[in-house]
Amino acid sequence: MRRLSVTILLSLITLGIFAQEDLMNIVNQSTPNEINYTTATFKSTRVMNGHSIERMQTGQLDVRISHRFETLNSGGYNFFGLDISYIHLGLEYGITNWLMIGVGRTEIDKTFDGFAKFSILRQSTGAKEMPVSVSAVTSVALKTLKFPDQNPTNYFTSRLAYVAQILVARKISEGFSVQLTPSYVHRNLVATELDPNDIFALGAGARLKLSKRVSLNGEYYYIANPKTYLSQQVYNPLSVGFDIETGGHVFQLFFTNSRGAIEKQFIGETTGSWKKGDIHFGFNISRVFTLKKHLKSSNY
Amino acid sequence: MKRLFLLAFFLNIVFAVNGQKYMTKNGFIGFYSHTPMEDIKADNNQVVGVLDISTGEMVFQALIKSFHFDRALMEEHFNENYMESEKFPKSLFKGKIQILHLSIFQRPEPMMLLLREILPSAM
Repeated sequence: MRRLSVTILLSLITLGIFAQEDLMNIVNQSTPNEINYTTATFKSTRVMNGHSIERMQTGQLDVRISHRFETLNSGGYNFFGLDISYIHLGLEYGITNWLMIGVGRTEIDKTFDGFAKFSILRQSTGAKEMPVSVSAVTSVALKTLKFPDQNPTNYFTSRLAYVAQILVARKISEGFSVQLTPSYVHRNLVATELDPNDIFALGAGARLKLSKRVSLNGEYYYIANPKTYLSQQVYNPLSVGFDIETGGHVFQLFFTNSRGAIEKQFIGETTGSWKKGDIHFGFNISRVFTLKKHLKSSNY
Repeated sequence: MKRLFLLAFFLNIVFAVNGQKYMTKNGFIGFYSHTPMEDIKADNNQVVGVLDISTGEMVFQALIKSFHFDRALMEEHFNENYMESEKFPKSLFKGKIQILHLSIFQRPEPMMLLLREILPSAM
């Protein structure tokens, strides 16, 4: 009798397990295998100076305030460079989930700039496997500083410089991302005829997550052209620093040998050298505002 | 309570599996929290759920990345900083309804009453 009841009990338990398993199977089979897009390859739309693969989502406005101070080796009299700062202000907006645009103004040469960033491929797993994210950036810079020499005819086009970049990035693991950035800069007017109008460069950037909100970033651009111009000696820009994220803000604090914050300026116009101590402290502050809401309010 | 924090999946398309099991693929789970700064609110309309009415057992599963927020940044923080969706992509609920009245499938209102009974903290 006891044996029988044990048998019945056992079979009931088995049945119960079977039923739960059954439901689990149904649920697992029905859960959609979605395309799982990689998020937060970088925390901001810039690695440091240069663009990162990230873009503003649809309807999001990014207000960016960037400072580069004077070099650390400018001495205690200038408070190690902090007395003098070069400011870049930017307004950037995500039009669709693959296109963002931005405008900015920087103090150096009184330059206005505008860019468009197109998202071509997005790293993903799941239903669609894609190993890398690819974006294209094209930008134009307009120098509005008065021409020093008013005698010869000065053309408007002489004020323009163009930049084209392809960004290829991969989030290798949760805490580590890398990016390669082949870049091309064309300056319509250069200081002397021996200075190059076209500059080719290869940028590399990386992000190492130190904690949930802090990451260590590095960025380097290798310039392929000879860097000794007739007018000046230029260097490859190298930046190292931290991203600190707090809610809607991202603070990027870093050291760089570049004074300019836009592509046209840090590629081909970086006159500071790390070896000589021409290191600028700089920061970017990014504040994101939601102009267009993502989702229609549900009525629960 | 007009606003329900958790509205289980029965109100959507429910169809029978093997006669005794009811399931949906577009169930809904949402959460809402009011703060002085901004409201924290997300909806997930892709919840998969199954209910076996012969035993009262139920299982439902949601992909964390299917929770969508008004603010893209909030969604990113939710996934990256709080839920760690890369490591833990799914959320699963297994349960059993102890006393299951079949009449609840005829009208939605008693169902809500029942849910309020079994999930008092969530309503």
